[in-house]
Formats: sequence, structure tokens, C-alpha cells
Amino acid sequence: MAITMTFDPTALFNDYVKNNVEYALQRLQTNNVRTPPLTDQELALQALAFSLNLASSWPLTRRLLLALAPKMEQSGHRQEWHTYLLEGLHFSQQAGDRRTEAELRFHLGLLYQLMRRFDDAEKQYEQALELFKQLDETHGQARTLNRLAIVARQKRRFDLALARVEEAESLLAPDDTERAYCYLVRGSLCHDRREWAEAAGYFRRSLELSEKKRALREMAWGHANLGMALRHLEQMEESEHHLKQAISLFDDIGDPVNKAISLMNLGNLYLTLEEPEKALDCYRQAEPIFRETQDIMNEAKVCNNIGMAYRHLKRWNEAVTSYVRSVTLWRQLDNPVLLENALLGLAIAYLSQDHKESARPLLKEAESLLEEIQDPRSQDFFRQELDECLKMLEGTEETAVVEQER
Amino acid sequence: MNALNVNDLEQLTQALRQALSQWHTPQVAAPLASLKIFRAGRSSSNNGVEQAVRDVLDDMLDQLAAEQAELATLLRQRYLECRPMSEVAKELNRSEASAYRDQRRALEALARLIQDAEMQLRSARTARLEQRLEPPTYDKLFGVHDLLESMFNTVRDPEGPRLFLFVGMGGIGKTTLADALVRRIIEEEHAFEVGWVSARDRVFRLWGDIVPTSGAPLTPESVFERMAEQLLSGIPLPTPFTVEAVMPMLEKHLKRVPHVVVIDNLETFEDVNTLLPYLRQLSNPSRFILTSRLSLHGEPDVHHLRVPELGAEDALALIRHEARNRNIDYMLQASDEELMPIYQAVGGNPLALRLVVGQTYVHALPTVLEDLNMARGRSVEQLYTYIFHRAWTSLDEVSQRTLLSFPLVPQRGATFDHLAHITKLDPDSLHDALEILVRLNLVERRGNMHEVRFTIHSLTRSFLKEQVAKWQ
Repeated sequence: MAITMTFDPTALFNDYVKNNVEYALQRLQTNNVRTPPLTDQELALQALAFSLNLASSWPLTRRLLLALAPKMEQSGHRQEWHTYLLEGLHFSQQAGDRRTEAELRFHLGLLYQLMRRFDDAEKQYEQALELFKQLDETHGQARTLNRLAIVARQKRRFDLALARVEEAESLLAPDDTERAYCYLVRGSLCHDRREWAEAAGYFRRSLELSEKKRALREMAWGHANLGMALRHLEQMEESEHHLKQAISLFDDIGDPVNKAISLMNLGNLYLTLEEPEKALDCYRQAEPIFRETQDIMNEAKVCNNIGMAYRHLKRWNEAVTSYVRSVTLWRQLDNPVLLENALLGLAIAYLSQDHKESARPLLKEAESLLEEIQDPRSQDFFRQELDECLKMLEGTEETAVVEQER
Repeated sequence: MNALNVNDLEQLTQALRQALSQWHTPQVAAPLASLKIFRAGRSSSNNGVEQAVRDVLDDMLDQLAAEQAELATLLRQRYLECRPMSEVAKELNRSEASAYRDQRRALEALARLIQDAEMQLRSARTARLEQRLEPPTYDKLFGVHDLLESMFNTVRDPEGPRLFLFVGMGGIGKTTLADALVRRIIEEEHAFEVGWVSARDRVFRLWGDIVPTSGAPLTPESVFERMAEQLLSGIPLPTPFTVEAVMPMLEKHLKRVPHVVVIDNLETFEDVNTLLPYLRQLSNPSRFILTSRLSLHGEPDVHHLRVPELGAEDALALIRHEARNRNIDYMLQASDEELMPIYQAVGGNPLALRLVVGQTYVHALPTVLEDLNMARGRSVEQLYTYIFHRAWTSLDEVSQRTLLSFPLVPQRGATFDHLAHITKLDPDSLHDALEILVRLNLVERRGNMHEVRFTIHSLTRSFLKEQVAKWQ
């Protein structure tokens, strides 16, 4: 059907595309650091869907992409948002806009990191770092180095992680907010070495700096990590306080994934304090968020923890259901330690109901998996657990609770 | 008056027993008055409702006597002559217990006779009234059961509205809903007769043709002439025919015998406002259901019902039903995931969904969907023409400019402020344009008292996106 018009529709529609991007930007600015409401997110994505096809709108489009990127990541968007970033990256390269390309690569790296695609994340960060260097953007370099440090840590290359964070620090002014992130990285490295007091020290410094700068998300991260370190230092009341602060702040800024992680850690604290009902309440709030954001690893963790809480309550059927879900998810992921943990948890839940035939193949799988666990301390711990389970299989001996460490 | 379920023999027997027990009182009519045979008897009786019911029951007892004389006698003696059972039993040479059993058998036999007579009368009525309708274009309804139920109750409500407007874009199912409603009224609501006047000037065939219907476009004269021909059969119409001359005849008839009259495709009228005053005059207790692509929000006494798009689940069910009817195997075996692109392209517009299924008889589904998005192929062009052409050409420039902003609007709609930012139109012009677009059902208004959002149907979105793709 041919539309007849008394005006030039192409020119008009192109103007509309630009006007729409301007409006989306205006809406985003009203939300500052908080996640914009769903309606504004949809509005912005719809605006991008058209403006990414219109070369003349690039100056506006890049502004919208860069304004939207941290908010979309914060609100838990992953796969769908990743497509827009790729299109934006393509456009920025065509337009020879290196500054935007560097920023988009940084955000892509962040997204890959959160999606646990660490090699892809590293690649994007390295390219972003190179571009920031060419542009002489020291702050951009520091930000990227910090994230590269986190990826190195995830890949268990701790020396490299330390080197990255040291390089980042060398680029930053003493009171730069990004230093709060450097402290978080350093604290996490101490945490990995089980140096809880040192870790807590770094997390406190991170929190102090971000509070001084009123950087809400960094504050929330500071509280969350400090809460975890204090739990290991058995400062339970203070740990609870910081975790609750983190949950409240993540909630305020609209960061559901980090809120759910802190809820899970608060649940773990309650479980340590032998308060399984309170722990379950936290886990139940966290679980749907992980499921919605397709964060399989954290969903696997929280299901395992729900299983543990039910075991404390001797609600075996519910424990089995949660452990089965956890085992299913861990089998999709390459993490023999946590799969072993969930397998043993499920086996114990079966054995406690005298369902030996259900437990037997799980223990067999757990036994063969022990070979893949490289950390000798973990291997010893699980071997001991497995032996106790095998005794239960033969007799009726009760075993200790396996607690999953985050 | 609660309608008696004539199919329920036990209920009918109870009502019959109650009526016979009250033979000599004015209440004799109440238990059975909802049955058509008694209402037909009433119209031929000059002696009031009670006597009419007695006459019909008397006839029925005669019919029973022809088959089972003793049973009829028992009932006459017990109820019409008010004799005690002990006496009746003695006369019939029965024990009292056996006479009671016979009485129960007699009531059941009489109820069965009434049931047969009622069903006969009903099927004659159904056939007579269904002749007034157009052949249905559907064999199964999807996604409108709740709506149909609610409308069935609203239309019958004596205190409810009298003028109804089923409104929505072309192909959305307005006529189907009206047709289903009047068929249900024919079947289940005997207090109303029905009528149907079509103002449709063209039909979209599922193989992709727009076929003009016979006859000149309708005017108020031709609408009332068709209505009078249908409803006043056997009564000579005034010559020369004028609305003014036929109105008293129609009014008298529609006041005496309540009707539900559908006027289908009202948007073909140049000026609906000339028709509405007459319909108001003819309504109460009769009801008028109008179907149109145009809203009549300026008319406070017109009850608007926006016919919604089908949801995804109902749309897929319709696709599969259509595929089954056309014996398109691979469509029948397709998963929800494979069929969803159809819904994503055309939304829940039943006409467009059926067209897509029909097209897959010849072309592969991706080709059909691409044709829809690119407005390629004669069938698709004709579909868009059928649905959008008349509306588009009736728009002024500001409204056209406003409509062209809608591909940029997210699914859940845009606020007025958002549209003002995109179009840069001044608020008054935008307000007027939106009013026109909503009235033409090209744009849908959603929301509540506190927030209003404007959006478009998926098919309109596909259509506009296709146009935009041509320009970019």
C-alpha cells in the first residue's frame, strides 16, 4: 500500500529518531546513579534500536549508549544489552570514534566478566586499555586495569592481579574515587589468601573513601565485602550490620544482582549462627533474582545453601529438591569444588532419610570428582566428608554439616 | 423471573407440579412462564396470562390422555379438581402408595410432552432468527469467552445500557463477537428476538482479495428499510419509504417485542450522528449493538467495548486450528517457538493470523513473514489496504505526522510528554491528533486516572515499520 503524504517522511522520521534519543537521555539524567524505571529502560532501548541505524544521529546515540551502559549492567541486563553494545562498538569503529570505542569495550568487558566469559572479558579490557593509552586517558586506564585485576583473580592468576591493581594505583590521584575499587581488589586478594584481618582493613579503607565521595555503589560494595570478611573474623554483629547496609544501598540504587549476593551472604551468616529460618528467608529473596538474571553460578550457590538450611531444620524432602537443583546447575558449570560440595550435601540428605540407593551413585560421582580438585586443603576436607558419608552408607553415623564457602 | 432449563427434566417436572398445585390461583403461571410454549399461548389468549397457561396445560393433559388416559385422569382429579389422593386412589382402584407413584410418572410424562413441544418451538425460532444473520466466518471462538459472557449478561440487564459499540481495528473480530453474542441470545435468552443489518461495503477474503459487497453504500434510509424488512415481515412497508414513516412501526414493534439488533460496520456511514437519534428512539427495552472501527466517545449513552487483540496463547491456538482446517501438516506440528514469529509480526489480529496461515499453503513461513514486514505480495498489500487505507486517507497532516512517530514508541506505550518531545508538535495540535487517532482506533489509549499511555497494535506497528524501512 503506497502512503501518500504532503511532507517528506524520511526527513521527518529521522528527526523523530533524534528527538527520541534526546528524550531518552533527558529521562536517564533524572535518575542519576539509580537504575531508571523499566519504562525508561524500554524507551531508551527502543530509541537505540532506531538510532543505531542512522549515522547522522551518532553524536546523540553515543551519549545515550554511554549513559545507559552502567545503568543496564547495574539493573542486571546481560545478553540483550550485550547486543546493543556490540552494535554501538561497530558504529563507533565506523565513525572513527576511539573514545567511545574504548568506553564500549570497557562495558562489554564488564558484561562478559559478569557472564563469566573471562577470556572474552580480558580481550575487551585489553583493547580498551590500549585505546585509553592512545588517548592518554589515565582514569580510563586505571578503571580498566582494576577490572583486569578482577578477571586475573577469577582466573586464579593472583600475581598478575596484584600487578594490575598496583599499576592502576600508580595512575590515580590520592583521593580519586577509583582508589576505592583498588582497595576492593586488594581486599579480595587477601580474602582469597584467607587473610581476613588484612582483607577487612582494605574493605574499610574502600568504604571510607567512597563514603567521603558519596559514591553509593562503591559504598555498597565496601559494606558487602567488609561484612563477609568480618564474618570470618567472627565479628558477627558487625558483619550483619554491614551486610544489611549493603542490601539497603543496593536496593536503593537498583542493583538486584549485588543485592541478592549480599542477601545470600547474610543468609550464610545466619546459618553460621544456627538460625536456619532467618537464613532461608534471605536465600528465598535472593534465589528468584539469580534466576531472573540468569546468573547460573549464584543460583547454584543459593540452591546449595537452601539445601543446607533445610538440613539444619531436618526438612529432608525440601533439602533434596534444592540440592538436586544445585547439582544440576553445577554440572553445567566448570567448578569441581562446588559440584563436589553439592553432591555431598544431596547424598547426606538422602542418607538421612535412609535412601541409600539414591545416595550411592552420587557418592561414586563425588569420589571420582575428588581427583579434579587441585587445592589440597579442599581435597582433604571433601575426602573427610566423603568418608563420613560412606560410613553412613554402611551404617547410620551422623555427619557434620558441610558449609559452602563463597 | 428465573429462566427454566427445559433440558432438565427434573427441574421441569418440579415446576410443572408447582404450577398444577396453584391451578386455581393467579400464581399458576409463574413456574412455567419463561417457556416459549406458554408465552406463545399468552399472545393468542385474550384472558390473561394465567388462563393462557391453564389453556396450554389443558391441551397437554389432553395429549397425555390420548397416550396414557389413566395418568391424565389422575392429574386432572388431583390438581384441577383438587381431590385428595386417598379418594383418587380408591376410584382408580389403586393403593395410595401406588397412586403416588403413578402421580410421579404422570407428572414426568406431562413434563416430557411439554419439553418436546418447547424444543420444537425453539428450533423453529432458532431457524427463523438465524436466517437474519450472515453466515458465520468462524467455526470456533478464541480468546473472547469471558468477554462474550460478560456482554451476554450486560445486554440482558434491564437496567443496563441500550446502545453498544464494539470498536477496534479491521480484522480484530468485532463482527465475530457480535455474531457470537446474538447466536447465544437466540439459543439462551428467549426474552429477546434478534436482527442484523450489515453496512459492510467490502470484504477481505482470506486468499487476499478485497471484494466489494453488493449494493450502494448505506444511508439511514437503507438501514431502516433493511431493518424493517427483516423485523416487520408480513407487514406492508410505507411507500414511498421514508425513515419518518417507518419509525412509528418499528418503534411499536421493538417496544412490544424486545430485540437485540446489530448494525455491523458502522464506520462506512458518512455521518453516524444522523443515525443515533433514531436508534435511541427505538431502544429500550430493545438493544442496539454497533460495530465500527471508529469510537464514539462523544456519545455518553453509548457503551464502548474495545475488542482486544488475542494474547499469544490464543493466537497460537487460532493458528493451529486454522492449520488443522486447511490440513497444513507442518504448521500443525510446529512448536510454539516456531509459530511465535507469526504472532510477533501481526500481533493478535485474527484476520491477519488467518491470512498468514493461508499463505503458508503456498509459501514458506519466513517468506510470508518477510512479505508482511516488507508489504510485499498482493495479499499482504491488500490486507494493509483493507485495514489501513481508509483510515490513513481520512487523516489530516498533523495526525499523519503523529502516527508516524509510533514505531519509536515502546510496546507499553508513550506518555503525552514523550510524544510531544518526539513530534515537537504544540500540545493542542498533538492533543487533537491523538483524539482523532484514538477515535479511528489507529492508536490505543491505555492507563488509568493518573497516567495515560498511547500505543499501537502490533499489526499497525509492522505496517508503519515497513513504511519506515522504505524511507531509511
